[in-house]
Amino acid sequence: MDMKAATFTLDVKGLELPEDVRQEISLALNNTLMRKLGEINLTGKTNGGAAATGGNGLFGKVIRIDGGDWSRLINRHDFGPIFQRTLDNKQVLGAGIEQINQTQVGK
Amino acid sequence: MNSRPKNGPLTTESRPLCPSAPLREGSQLLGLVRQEGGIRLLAEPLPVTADFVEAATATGPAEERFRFVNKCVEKGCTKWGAGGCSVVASALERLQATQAAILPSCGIRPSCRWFMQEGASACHICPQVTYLNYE
Repeated sequence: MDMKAATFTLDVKGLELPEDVRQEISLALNNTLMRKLGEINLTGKTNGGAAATGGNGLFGKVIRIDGGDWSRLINRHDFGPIFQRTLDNKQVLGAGIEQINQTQVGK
Repeated sequence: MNSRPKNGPLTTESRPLCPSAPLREGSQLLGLVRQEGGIRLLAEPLPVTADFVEAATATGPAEERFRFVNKCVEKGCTKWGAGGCSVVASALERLQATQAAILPSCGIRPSCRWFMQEGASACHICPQVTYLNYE
């Protein structure tokens, strides 16, 4: 699978718009991007197929571990934002996807 | 093994971050599960939106395809034990971490529970772990 950095630049030459309209469009583009990201499936498996493998917890070269059920959380401060950042166009479009190299040897 | 993190600083956040959290309130996108195996990590975690959640959960558990980061809830997690997070400890027992000198690029390392607990070894096996959602 040919993978490249997810860089998106949209430059509409000659079009001038008020700030509020540009922000509105920017937000709409972000929403579209996030929705499409949510639809991504790079696993090569049909949805639900991975869960059906079960067994030894190994899925391809991925070790599948129960990340832990969260329980006994007594207040919302246990959740909540982990970074005080605003979700703006720059941040979303600037978040690159980086190829990493890894080798797994099962014990 | 100590019950408290031994590696890395506790940074601006009072809670260390769990690099393999379920998709819950406050979770951010950390990576994508890839077909060849392993996780394709984002250079920085990405706040998820309602649109993302709706799309990601439409056809099954989002954790099958994505990795999320959220606060480590310590004793609020069933995987928390006397030695800290048992998830990374289990992964290190089952997998052989690569010995590459360069760690995978990561946007949460200074605040990561796994790194604090296990050091660089955790970073090497981290991309090999996906969250198994029983819900």
